[in-house]
Amino acid sequence: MPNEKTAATKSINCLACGAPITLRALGASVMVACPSCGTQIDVSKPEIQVIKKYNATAREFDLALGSRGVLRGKPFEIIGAMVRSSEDGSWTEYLLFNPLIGFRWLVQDRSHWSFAQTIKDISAIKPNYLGLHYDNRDFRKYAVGNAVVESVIGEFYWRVKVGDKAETIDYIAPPWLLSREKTGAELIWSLLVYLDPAEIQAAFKIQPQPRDDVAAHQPCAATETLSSLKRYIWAALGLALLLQMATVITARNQQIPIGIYTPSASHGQEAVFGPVHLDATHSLNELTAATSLSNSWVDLDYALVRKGTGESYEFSNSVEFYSGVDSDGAWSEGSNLGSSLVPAIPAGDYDVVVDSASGDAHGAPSQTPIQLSLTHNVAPWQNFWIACAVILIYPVFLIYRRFVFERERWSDSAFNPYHTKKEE
Amino acid sequence: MESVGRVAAVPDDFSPLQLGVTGQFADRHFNIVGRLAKVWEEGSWNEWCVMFDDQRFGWLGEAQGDLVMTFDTPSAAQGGVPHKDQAALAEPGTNWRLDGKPFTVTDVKQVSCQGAEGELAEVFAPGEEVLCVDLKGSGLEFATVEYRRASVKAYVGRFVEFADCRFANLRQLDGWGAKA
Repeated sequence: MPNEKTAATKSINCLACGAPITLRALGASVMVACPSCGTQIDVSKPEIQVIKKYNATAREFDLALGSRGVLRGKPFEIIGAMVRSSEDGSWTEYLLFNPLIGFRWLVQDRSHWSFAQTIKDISAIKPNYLGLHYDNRDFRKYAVGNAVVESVIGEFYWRVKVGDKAETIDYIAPPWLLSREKTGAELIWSLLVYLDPAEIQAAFKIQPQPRDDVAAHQPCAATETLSSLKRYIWAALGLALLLQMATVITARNQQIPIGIYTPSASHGQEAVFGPVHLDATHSLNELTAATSLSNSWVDLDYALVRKGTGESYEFSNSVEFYSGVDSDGAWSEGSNLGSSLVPAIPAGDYDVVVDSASGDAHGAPSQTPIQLSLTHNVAPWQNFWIACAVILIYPVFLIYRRFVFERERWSDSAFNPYHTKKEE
Repeated sequence: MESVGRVAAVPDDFSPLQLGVTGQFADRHFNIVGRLAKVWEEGSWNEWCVMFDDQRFGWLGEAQGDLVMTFDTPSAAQGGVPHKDQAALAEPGTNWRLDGKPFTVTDVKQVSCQGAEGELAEVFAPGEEVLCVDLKGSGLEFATVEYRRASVKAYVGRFVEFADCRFANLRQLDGWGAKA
């Protein structure tokens, strides 16, 4: 069968003002609105005819009819454009055409751009607890409005006219937005995806305006970073926990009694206990002072002195306990238990040298004996908590950023889940 | 099947489809053998007559950027579609049943043929006005019920994507390469 000659775009002259008009989607489009005067012309039949005459002044659009750009990997040509408005302002919808794909939309709402497609299989849109479920995503209701066509130029696949009204509902799952438009009995669903300014710049060689607010379906950078980091964060926390568990399991927790110590009134009267044998290398040890004193205090200074080398590891703790009765009833404060963690002790035999100062309510030294004991080779937890904190600093920062971003996103919505509606 | 050569002039368009194009539908190979250029008050579209390798016909509707493959389905037409007088008054959103399956009316319009070419499974009489009811079913299902002077025909099928048809021998389009 013979092939026909190459198909070309067709040029006509506006039947009202005579301006030249290029038809770029002949056969697929049914009408063209003259870019110069707005007159609507029926182009669906070989004999073009006026649908409705207008004498509008040409309106400027950021992108010209006939411009081409590659969006999401496919080239499209702008064949029509319309400005629509609602209670929340106005926006521009460009009709895109590729004869080997069909129609798509490019939506410009101030400095925000979206790429859109009407949904043929609307039975795939299902209500759920959040709003709607479509294409494995959950959409939340964001806005309800009434859209009106303010101006229109170029080709369209239906007879668009100024003043056409639609009831709209938007649902979001950033970067996606599901748009429901109802005009009379006709219901049209579209899926929009938010385009990064760099994408629109690369596609149509224009410099998009800087963004000064958050669009309904604008993706949150912090959310995206968080989700890409999530696996590493969990891996790091898991590794820290694993190391800590290994440390806990291998810790000996060996109980070594040291002796009974009676405090002195002031420093300078050392008592020596031991020696104690510590056989784990480079161990963490906990020295505990337990007593039963009342209304007095004891400050204890210790030194672990290694036999043979004389290396000394010094640390201190204290016990104090007060109690009494006043108008509120019985009270007490302080503790009869003092403890110190002593890190990085080499294996060896050690003398435990104890010195102290003490006093009671009358300034006399405490006479209550103190039981000293040492737990050799305990598991340290501090490093683990520090590691967790360090791992979580950036995620917590990102979660905060996400909160700020989402609060701004929803601040314009009547369905704001953050309940931070601006005061009227 | 009737060979019409060219009846009236098929209007100029910018479609990549033409007689001789081959394609696939549900893993079955077809050839475009004919074309009906249809028109209604507010627009026009192409119905491409396709022949599958088993000699069965189908209709590939190309309307406003969408493609729909439908098949003449006598059981659906006989299965209790409303009478023509009722159908003419059907509002969009009305529910019909075709072959036991639910469909919703999307469009009711008077259609005639402005041109034809090639070989066609059936033709419109010149100047014949046909009441045409478009319906959507669940998923991508689509149907058209045509009320002729003496008969009712139902064409049932579904929307297809251009890329999924794996067309070959497409028409050259000025300014566009062979690939989307």
